[in-house]
Amino acid sequence: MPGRSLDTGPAGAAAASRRPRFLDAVSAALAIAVRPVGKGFLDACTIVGGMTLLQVRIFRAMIPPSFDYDETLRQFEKVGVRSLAVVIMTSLFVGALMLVQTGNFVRDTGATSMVGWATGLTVLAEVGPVLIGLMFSGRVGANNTAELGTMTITEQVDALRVLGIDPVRHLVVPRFVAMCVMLVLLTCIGDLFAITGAAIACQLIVGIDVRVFWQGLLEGHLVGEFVMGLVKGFFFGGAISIVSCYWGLRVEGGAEGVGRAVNNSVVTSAIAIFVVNFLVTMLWV
Amino acid sequence: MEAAAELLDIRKELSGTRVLDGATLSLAAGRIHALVGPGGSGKTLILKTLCTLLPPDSGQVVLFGEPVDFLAPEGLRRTRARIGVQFQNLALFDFLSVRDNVAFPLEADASAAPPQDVERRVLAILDAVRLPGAAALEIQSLSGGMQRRVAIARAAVSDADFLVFDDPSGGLDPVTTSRIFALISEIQARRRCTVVIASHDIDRLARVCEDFHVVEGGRVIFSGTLAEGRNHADPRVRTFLDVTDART
Repeated sequence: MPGRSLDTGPAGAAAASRRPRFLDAVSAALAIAVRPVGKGFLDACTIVGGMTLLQVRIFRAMIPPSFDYDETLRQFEKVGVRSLAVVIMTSLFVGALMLVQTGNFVRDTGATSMVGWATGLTVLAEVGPVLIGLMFSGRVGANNTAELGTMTITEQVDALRVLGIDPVRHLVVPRFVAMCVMLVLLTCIGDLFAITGAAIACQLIVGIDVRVFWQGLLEGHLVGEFVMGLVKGFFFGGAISIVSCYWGLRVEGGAEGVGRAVNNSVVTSAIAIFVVNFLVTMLWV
Repeated sequence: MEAAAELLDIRKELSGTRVLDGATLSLAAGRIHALVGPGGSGKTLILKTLCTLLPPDSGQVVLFGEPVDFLAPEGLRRTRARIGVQFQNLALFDFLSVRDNVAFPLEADASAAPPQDVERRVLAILDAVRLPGAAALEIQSLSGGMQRRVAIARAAVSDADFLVFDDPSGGLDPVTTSRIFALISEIQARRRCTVVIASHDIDRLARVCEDFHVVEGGRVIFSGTLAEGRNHADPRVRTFLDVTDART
């Protein structure tokens, strides 16, 4: 039985040889376009997975609570007390600025009784915790990543491991506890100074009687917003500690690697703060 | 002779580069071993693998006759408690004093030594590394050479069965270097522990080490005595173990 010939002549052969080359070119172009996306996705999965694992290891190390209390107290002082001045100054001026921005509009429309409530709502629920969280991540988170990164590249973390000491229990857990607790306290103090700053601006700059401001604030019944802000502070502290410790413990290379890790830590912390802020707000309201 | 530590066909990639390429090594128990080779050949990585700090991609690490399970934290902790390490970067805790750094291995394991014994041992080892009276000093206030001696003291202060020294003579003057090598030899003779020293100082290694291992390209290309190495067919081995060429 005669078989069917595949030979379609010179034109067909040329078309057949062109087709694979065309397909090769298309697949190569696709690979070039898709590869960075795939790599980015895998990198993101690695980072999120690494941070999740670190979180699990932190919780495992805390049950039963047998972490280093001296180191935890040292971290309380380092991340909390030393951040106080920055938080107070920032909060005072941001509170004042918020009132200056809204005060003129409120005065012109005659809704002066709203000024205290509006400032309180914004400060206690959103601006206070987020702003203090961002300041905290810039000062404490970056410092934490640099410190752990330096310990990593100088093999101090390896030295702990070879001495039978779990670096997570010894280094990360005290920082996690200190950041969670101190960011709640700093948020509380920051709220107080932001509202004080707003009250001062209300009287001295905008010209609205400060008693109107206080009355609006107190009648606003903002306890729920205040508590939500503290809850946010707690979760921001947890997020900043996990992010900064994660980047610090995976530093590679020398000083350049530490610099890169600090940069990654600050950027990731900022993203984490906004994501956590969104999630807590959504669950709360 | 029984091996205290063995690496069997260890392969490891870091950042896409093959850094250990089938490294196989056996360290006989109760002897002093020298690990030599050009910079970047993989000596430090081999030492870190031996200390269970660098899990291999493939191959097996056997310590004290037991295969190391890198996924078993409790087993790793027990194994590491038998190892003393002086790191290349010293790895001293800069937030602790000299005394606290040296005492750290003893105090980390509360059952290792009673408090009064800790003080005695710390002062004795500081005296041995020529740092008497330095116990209260901060690490940052010490010179590089003094910090190296503190790191050596910390590695040797416990009763480890396996001591690892990564470049113990770097930055030290000749007199202190000789003393450090003599101290390592003395500790080994007293405890009959297994010691491995990575260094480029072949002439001093020749005085204290019994076995030599040459590392090149992430694998061990020679294991044997110095005399065997100097008569080896491979010119890379001969070159590296020849005292006159050793510091090139």
